[in-house]
Amino acid sequence: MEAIIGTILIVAYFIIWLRFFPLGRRTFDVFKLNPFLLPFWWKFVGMGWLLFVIVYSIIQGNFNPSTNNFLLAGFYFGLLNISFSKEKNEDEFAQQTRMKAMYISIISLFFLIGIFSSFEITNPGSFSKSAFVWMMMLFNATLIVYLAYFYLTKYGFKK
Amino acid sequence: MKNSLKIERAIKNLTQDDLAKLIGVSRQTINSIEKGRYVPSTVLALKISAVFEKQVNEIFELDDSD
Repeated sequence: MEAIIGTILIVAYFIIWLRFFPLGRRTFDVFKLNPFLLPFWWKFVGMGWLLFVIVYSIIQGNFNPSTNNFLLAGFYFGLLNISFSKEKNEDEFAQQTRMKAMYISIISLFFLIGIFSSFEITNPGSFSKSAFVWMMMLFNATLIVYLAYFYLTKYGFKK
Repeated sequence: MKNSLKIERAIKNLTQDDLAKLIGVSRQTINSIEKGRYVPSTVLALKISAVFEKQVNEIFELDDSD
């Protein structure tokens, strides 16, 4: 089962990745890159996928992210699809908020890497022995920061 | 930047949703502009001024902090 899901994910990543390239036309305006986002309804594909990953992990009887690679990789795919789908009305406010969220999440990623690398100094081997788990946790955390900033700003919970 | 969007909307008896539909943005965008969280682009400011049939600087004005 995992082999089939893994293969589907590899193919899906390549297809989705290609969509983000502005083929045939060049633009230097970052806000004009937004039309290359995934369609609005794709967000629900991501949500459905997250639900599947959670239910499948519960059926497997392993909901521990440090030992369940499927849970980590599956969560990442779901969050990625939600993050890069358009809003119902992808206007200039949504576009600018998206760019700010991207900026904040990238800064968070650098600081999280700094924190994790410090653990490697205090406790050698803690990071490098389980690099996949830590890497997926880092990127999942980055996407969660991105989504949290984007939606909190969009719906006015943040000044 | 200060704006009188809420007052202009009340005069024209428009809801945030009505105005959002008229200028093709989301309701959250109008709400953010009214609360001063977001400064609209020139294009959007011109669209808003066209709805209220006023000059842009009659709706938006510079604040002391600008």
